This record gives sequence, structure tokens and C-alpha cells, in this order.
Amino acid sequence: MNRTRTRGHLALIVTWLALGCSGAGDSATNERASVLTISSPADADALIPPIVATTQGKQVADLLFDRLAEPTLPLETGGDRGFRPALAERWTWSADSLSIAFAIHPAARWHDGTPVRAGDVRFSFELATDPLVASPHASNYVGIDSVSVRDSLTAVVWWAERHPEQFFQIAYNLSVLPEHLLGRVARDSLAQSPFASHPIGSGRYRFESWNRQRDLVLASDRANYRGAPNASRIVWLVAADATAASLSVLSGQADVLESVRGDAYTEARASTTVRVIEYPSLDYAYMLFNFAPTARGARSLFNDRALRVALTHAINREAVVANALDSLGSVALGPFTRATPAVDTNMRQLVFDTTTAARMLDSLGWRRAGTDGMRRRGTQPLQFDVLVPSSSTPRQRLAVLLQAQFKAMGIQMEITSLEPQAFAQRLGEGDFQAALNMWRTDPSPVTIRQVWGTADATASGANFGRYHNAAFDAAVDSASRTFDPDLRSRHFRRAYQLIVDDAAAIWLYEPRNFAAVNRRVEPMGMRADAWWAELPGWIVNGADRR
Amino acid sequence: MPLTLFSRLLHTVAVVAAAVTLSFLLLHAAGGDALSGDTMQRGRTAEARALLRERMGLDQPLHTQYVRHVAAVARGDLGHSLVDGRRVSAIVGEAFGHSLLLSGAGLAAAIALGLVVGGAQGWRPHDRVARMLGDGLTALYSVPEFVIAVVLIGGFGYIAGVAPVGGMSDPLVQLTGSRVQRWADVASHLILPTIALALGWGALIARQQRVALRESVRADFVRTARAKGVGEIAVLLRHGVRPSMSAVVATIGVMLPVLAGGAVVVEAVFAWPGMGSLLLRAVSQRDIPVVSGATMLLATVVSVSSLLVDAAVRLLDPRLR
Repeated sequence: MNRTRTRGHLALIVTWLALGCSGAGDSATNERASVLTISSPADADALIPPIVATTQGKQVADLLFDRLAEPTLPLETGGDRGFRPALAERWTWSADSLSIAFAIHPAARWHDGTPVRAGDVRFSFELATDPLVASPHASNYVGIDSVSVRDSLTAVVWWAERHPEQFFQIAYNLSVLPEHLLGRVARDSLAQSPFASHPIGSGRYRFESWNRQRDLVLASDRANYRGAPNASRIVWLVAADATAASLSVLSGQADVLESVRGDAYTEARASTTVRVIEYPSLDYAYMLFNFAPTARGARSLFNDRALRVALTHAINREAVVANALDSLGSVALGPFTRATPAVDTNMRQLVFDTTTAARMLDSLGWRRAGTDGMRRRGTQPLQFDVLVPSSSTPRQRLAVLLQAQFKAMGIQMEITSLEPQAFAQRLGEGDFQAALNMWRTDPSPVTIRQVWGTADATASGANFGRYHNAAFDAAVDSASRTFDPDLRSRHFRRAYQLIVDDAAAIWLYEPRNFAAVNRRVEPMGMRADAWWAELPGWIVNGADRR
Repeated sequence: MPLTLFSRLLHTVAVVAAAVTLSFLLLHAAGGDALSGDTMQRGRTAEARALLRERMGLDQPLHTQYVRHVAAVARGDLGHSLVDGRRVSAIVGEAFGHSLLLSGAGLAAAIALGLVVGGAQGWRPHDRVARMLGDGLTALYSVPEFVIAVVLIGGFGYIAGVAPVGGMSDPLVQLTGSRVQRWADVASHLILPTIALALGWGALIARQQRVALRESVRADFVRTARAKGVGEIAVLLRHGVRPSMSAVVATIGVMLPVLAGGAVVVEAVFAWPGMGSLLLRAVSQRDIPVVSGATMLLATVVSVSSLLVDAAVRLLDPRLR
């Protein structure tokens, strides 16, 4: 009797585990066929657009909430030519171009069924710019005066001054939020509100579930005014470990991994399950110089342009980038990437030339002296310290390679490896000589001045090295004011050439973005600023799922 | 006995206070704070950054931050995460539950494996199969957990496809499946990380069990039991295994911090959302309330469990009473 019961229990356990291993039944298998699963290196921090700070949060929020208009490819930030209607079915410029009236699509509904109204646009702008919210995106709206409501379906955005990126500024940055659900939430505690854990938007996907640090699920909004998306659900699976993330895609557990590197790239290339897709990048890595006086008030070594040029000539950038990144990176051209509009990829560069570098250093008084072969000027050795974040393997490798190349030229470079938070703090406080930094550029080329413009060379600005170049400032300023697209490109190209000729930094590499995508998925429109932007249009062939 | 208990409780409070203080000071000494990452995203205005810094209390001197923090903890308020704004008690409680589930499963499998292999080796030291099993387990013990985990994922998950390669559950099953299916789903996700943990821990337990059992089977009371005509199985279980268990329980006691704190490497490789992953993330983000809350819980669990292990060892081995 007991033996029979034990066998019964064992059979139950085996069946139970078998069900679990096989994905727990037919219902889930059928559900799964048209689901798109993304392996994500981190969880979203928040889902309410004004308080989202991470890429993962932005991916989800962009699908939940609508913008007034959507950018098309190639991304054009001047004027409204590069945009297609989204929440606004059309828009009208005022005669003086100081306002744009957006006509809200009359069929647009929040996922709770309430119609989207012009008041929601005004509310969203006020929320995004409210100092109490302390939004990480508030500076995107500088220059916008206000948003008014002409009628229930017309929102008017007002500027104090005309500029070419007015349309981009509001249409690209503002996600429209439901006033009827968020209007009464305390603005200093949005993250703690019930809406934060169960957001309701008007996008083509609606919120379904979120298990923090595990997974997040959006379901298609079949009755959406812009049409139902192709994938029935989008699932984000959090896998912080790179090996775990790549194996989840290679095994077919996930469909998309936004970035594959190292061995995972090689395996993905050879895989029959996934294909590797390259998409443009807005990141560039560089050796940042600190131009500010030292803590003791001494002049920075890097204020001497000739020295910076000599340092750039001393580095074989093609070799170090190939060595550190193999084919996963390209030599950076300047403080922009090849995906930036107006970039001339054939622009003049400071090339690897040790003879010129040595001659320039000698003429500056930095001569090889002593038995160690290192350069000195008087008793002062030519040496500097470089901060490197310990989290970046390519930059750690690059630091060692740069150190060796500088040493061959008689220049001593010390490496200080720091944890990312400590690295960021030292940069923010200007407590460094040089640093191997990485920067993600904004789609708007005008924002280059936030990082390299004199106006941002302050304690709270992003010009960490306090770089100053009046000619560069003027060229960017001209580009930011002109409405003529060709002239705008010419001004930007001049600005780019000026900063490269000035050797404001040693421009090292642009990482090449490779996504691993399951072969059953047909991606489209992977933009440099947001590869996920066209996810609703991605085709998922359910029957082919491994 | 009440005096001992009181002194152990005082000891526990001191350990927890020391752990919280040390974690707080070390995090500050490492440089950077929860808003340092913001430096690299210049969308927030200087005024907004100042407001956030004030809201998080980061604008205060270190000693003020510490006193405020300790006072809040003493009131039972662990506060909110500086990163996602959620309550620390909820974040830590969730991760602790996940770690207990994984480590508990790993420990149960390790105990079963260790007792069987160690017991066989201790009882019949010259048996070839027992020796081979023991040697195999020892060899696995010397392989880093990370390697075992990756081999398991590659072999059973990726190539054979018999078990999920990561995560704690399949969100679709959790959304659409029955209760049994949901539990089965979690169980299937437990398979590979549990094996990864059990192989290493099992070898440690087997080693202790083998040594302890060999010692106890040579003892006078075993010889006496045999002389009295007690059967071999009864001698093994009653007179051999039971006293040898105290060594195994002590070993498990040593492993308890891992059990409570999460197996950092295995959790990371299998994307298991436990305490190990939580602490790694919170430390790297300088999320001090979460680090403090997690540290406090771990210090308490470790102190209390060491008390329980001491009691269990006394109970199992009459020689220690």
C-alpha cells in the first residue's frame, strides 16, 4: 500500500517537473509563438518618462507612451521633415514660427479607455519641467515657453525664440502622460505612486506585468488607434551577466540581445539560431584631458596645444583599437560618430607619426634624458595619470596599450582604475589629469556644446575637462541658428574640423553595435538613438521558434 | 541558560550594528554616491541635482547622514531605495526569499549527495565505487562554481535544451499558467543552479561526513553495539551516522552565510534575482539604504543561525551535552 502511494507521488513529481521543463503546457506554448523576448542587461529603473534615467526604462516607456510625432530614418533634427504623425495627426506652424499647434488624433485612447486630450499634452510638459520632479530630461525643454490648450484636441507649444530644432525639441522629447491618473500624484514622489508600478499609456503596447529584477511584460493594444503591433507581447528578461545573456539568446530562450561582444559575437556569427545585425552607434571613447589648473594652482600640462598634438601623433589609433576591440570598434573621428548628421568621414585627422611627435616634443623642451629614456623638461618628467573605469574591458585594454606606446616615446602614463561611480565622481569634480571616457551623443548635433562648449565648462556642466575654444563655440552657435540645412551642415563640419585640429582629446574609438536576433524575427528601423523605436513593426514568425 | 541567551542576543545586536556601520563607512570610502552616475547624463539641471541631493540627504556631512540613518533603522524604517524609490524592506525581503529558495534547494541536494557519498566512503573506505564517487566529487569541488555553471548551461540548457538556462521563471507561464504550472515552471528554473551549488557544497559535506563517520565507526560504543549483536544497518544509522552528523551540521552552519547571502556567482550566471545579485547591484549604485538593509538582515540571520547550529550540535552529539 505504502509502496503504491510512494510510486504515485513520484509519478506526480516527474509529471510536474516535465511540465515545467517543457514550458508548462500548450496554452503557454501557443501564447509564446508571437511573443518577442528581449534579454536585457539590467532592469528598468522607472516607467514614468520624466523620471526614467536608464536605457532599459526608456525602452519600455517609449512603447507605453506616445510622442506627438515620431522621427524617421535618417534622423533629421532640423525642421519637421524628418517626422511622421503619431499622437498628433497633423501640426500647423504659426506665421512667426514661435508656436506649433498639434492636432491630437481623435481616436487616441489611454489603455483604460479614456480619450487622450490636449490637456494631457500641457500636463505632460508641466510635469517634465517641474523642478519638484527633478527630471533627468528637464534641460531638453529649455527655450520652450509654455503649452496651451486651444480646444480639447489641439495643444499649442510656444517658444520665446525661433531655432531650427523647435519641432524636434517637443516632438522627440515629450512623452504624453494621462492627466486624469497622474494629476493628483505628489510630484516629488512619482516613483512611489501606484501608477509607477502599473503605468497606463496610449502606445501600441500596454503594461501587463513587472517582476523587478526578473522580467517585464507588455501586451499588444489590439484596439490601438495606430493599429495593433505585430508581436502579441514583448518580454524583457533581466540577465546582468554577459555570458548568461548571450546563452539565453543562443539557446532560443530570448529573441534579442541588443549588444553582443567578444566570444558571444563569434558564437552568434556561427549560430544557426540567431543572426548578427549591425546598427549605428552614438557612442565614442576618448582620452579626456583636464585643462583646469591643478589643486595647487599649477597650469595644466594639456593647455599646450603642441603637446596635445604630439601626444595624438604618438598613438597608433588603428592598431590599439584593432588590438582592444578587434572588428567591434572603429577609430573615432572626433566628438561625434559616423551616425551623426553632417559628419564628413574623410575629414582631416592627426595621424600616427612618431617622427613628428618626437620632433614636436623635442622642440617643446621635453627631451629624453637619463638612463630610463623618459622625457623631461628640466627636472620635470613628462608624465600624467589616466583614470579608467574598471567596468570597461575595452578601455582597460586600451589603457595598457596606450601606456606602452607612450612609453616608447619617452612619456610616462600611469593608470588608475576606478569603479564606475568613483570614476564619475572624480570626473564631475574635475579631480583628474586625464581619463578614458565614453560619451553617448544626443541625436541633436547641437548638444555637442554641452560637452565641449565653453558655457558648460563649469562645476555643474558636462565639459569635465574645462575645454575652451572660441572658434569652435562660434561655429556650433552658427550651426544652431541657421535654418538652411546645407549651411547648417557646413557650420557643423567646420566646428568638427576645428576641435579635431585642436586635439581637444585623443579620439579613440566608436564601438560598433551588433545585436543578436533570433532568425524567426525580422527587425526593422534600428536607429542609433533607439534601436527599439520600431519594435511594434518587427515581424515575429511564431512557427519558427526553436 | 537565560543569561547565555541574553548575552548571545547582545552579541547579535553588536554584530548587526558593526556590519551596518562598516558597510556605511566603506561605501563612502569607496567614493561616489547614488547620484554620481548622473554626472554622465547631463539632462538634469543643476537645480534639480541639488534638490535630489537634498532629498536623499546626500548634501549632509557624513556623520549627520550616519546618525540619521541609524536613527531611522532603530525606528524600524529602512527607508527607500535611492535608485528606484521602492521600500527597502520590500526589495530586501523579495531578494532574500529568492535566495533562500535557491540556496535551500542547493543545500538540500548537497546534504543528500554529501551524506550518501560521504557515508558510503566512511562506512566502506575500500569500496571502489564509493572511492570513485568521492574522488569525482572532490575534483568537482576544486572546479570554480562559475565553470560548473557555464558547463551546465552549455550542456543541459543550450545543447540538450532540457532546462531553462537562466532566470527564476517564465513570465508567460506565470501570467497564463495554472498554479501547478507556475510552481513547476519555477522548479524547472531551479534545476541547473541547484545542481551547480550542490556539486560544490556536496563535496564539502561528503568530506566531513566521511571523516566523522570513519572516526565514529572505530569508537568503542560501535564495537560494543556489534558485540551485542546489533545489525549492521542499525549500527550504521544509530551509532555511526548520528554522532557523525554533528560535524556535518557544523559545516552547514559555516555555510549559512552563503545560504542567506545568496551564492553570488551562481546567481549572476543563472540571472537569479537573489541577495547576492541585489548586494552587487546596490553596492555598485551606492544605494546605501538597500546595502544597509541587506547587511542588517544577513548579519541577523548569520548570528541567529549560528546560535541555532550550536544548539543543534549539542542535541545531536550526546558527548557535548
